[in-house]
Amino acid sequence: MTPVARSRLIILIAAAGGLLFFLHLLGVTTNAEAWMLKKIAGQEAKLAEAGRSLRATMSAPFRINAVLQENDALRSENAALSVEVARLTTVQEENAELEKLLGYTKKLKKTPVIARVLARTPEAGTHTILLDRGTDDGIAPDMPVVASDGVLIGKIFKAERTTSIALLLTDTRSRVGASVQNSARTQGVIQGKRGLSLEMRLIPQNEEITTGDMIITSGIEPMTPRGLLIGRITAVETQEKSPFKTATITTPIALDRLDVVAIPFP
Amino acid sequence: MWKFLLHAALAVVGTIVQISFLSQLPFPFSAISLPIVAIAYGIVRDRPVISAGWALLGGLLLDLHGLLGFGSEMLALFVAFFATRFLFQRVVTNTGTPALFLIAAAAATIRWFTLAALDGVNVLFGGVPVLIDLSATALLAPVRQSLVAGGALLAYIGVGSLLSRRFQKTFLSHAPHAFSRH
Repeated sequence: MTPVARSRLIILIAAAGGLLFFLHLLGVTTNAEAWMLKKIAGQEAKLAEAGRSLRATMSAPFRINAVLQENDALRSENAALSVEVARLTTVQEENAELEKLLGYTKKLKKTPVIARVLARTPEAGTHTILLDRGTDDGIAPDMPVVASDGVLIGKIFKAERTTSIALLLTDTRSRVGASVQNSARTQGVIQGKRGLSLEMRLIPQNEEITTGDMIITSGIEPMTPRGLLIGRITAVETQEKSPFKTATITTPIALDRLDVVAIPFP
Repeated sequence: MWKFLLHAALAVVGTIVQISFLSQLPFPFSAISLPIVAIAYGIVRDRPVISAGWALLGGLLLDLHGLLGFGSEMLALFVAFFATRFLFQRVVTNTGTPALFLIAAAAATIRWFTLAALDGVNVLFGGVPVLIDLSATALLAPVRQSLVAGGALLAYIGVGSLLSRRFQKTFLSHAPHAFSRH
């Protein structure tokens, strides 16, 4: 191929890119894009699964010690939770009785959408996941995304017809209104800390919080219901001269090993 | 024609593999950007049409999955392609190991800065920032991506040349026998 012909071909390819962009702006390619994403979603899910398996295999030798420690911690936590379950079962039975007495009927709520995690999105420095459900399934930006047992893991950032992108709580840009499960129902804002952990900020200095306290969503955002579990306080940092204190939060979910998530409707 | 279609299919499959498979693996595999490595490879091997094809198809697929608006990845890859090609033709004009590393690293850096500039425009118009994040981890991400891109290109070319030498040797050692039979 001559250099002139080659240059013409390159310009033609770049022009094709420009044409695609304008067709997208005009909305002409919307159906084609949705069709394409739907077609490749299945293959992407299989590839993502293979990637996760390979990652687990690669990291297995380094995780044995951590797994043993985690096992010990989980055993003791399990014992404490069994006591908690017994107490809550009693409360639940009492609650059921009260509901009968008051003639209380539960509001009908739509079933949450279950979504598979197709991939982590490719931009560097972001902590997001690509889900195989989109606006066709009723997904909209700012909806909460929860993992097993209703633990909040993030919020929908962008929704397309057949896919959506969720911003994980650990992302530095993530902000969620939260409250501590203590008698004062201390309020604060959960923010991602460099993609590694979570911080609860804007906690007034006079509020009493301790390590081990449970953190739930405050329900201050219109799309996010109150009471979704976020995690537990593992450290409290108090700074002199500052009107607020900060708490480090640990989420019970391994955010880098998510397979399936749910999006509850408000 | 078949060659073009084959390269186009390779670009589509490669980008899907990066989005779904490589992104799940630990560092440094998760930081590999196959479109960037392919663009740099096309430039240093004097096959710019392949690079442009990867910019178009890779950019299209990344845009369908990305957080930034449609066209951002495509534009960033085309800018990276044209700028790196200019760099290779006018500044770093050899194909030594440091030059190859530099070309791939430059392509990754240019792509990231183009995306950051587009994100800046997005923020100016009231959008939510996607890439602009001044935390230390986020600032290190493009540096890591550039280093990985350079390393990946060197590894790919190194393995390729090793294999081609091996095949050449096998062919030459068998060639006289092949001729003598006929």
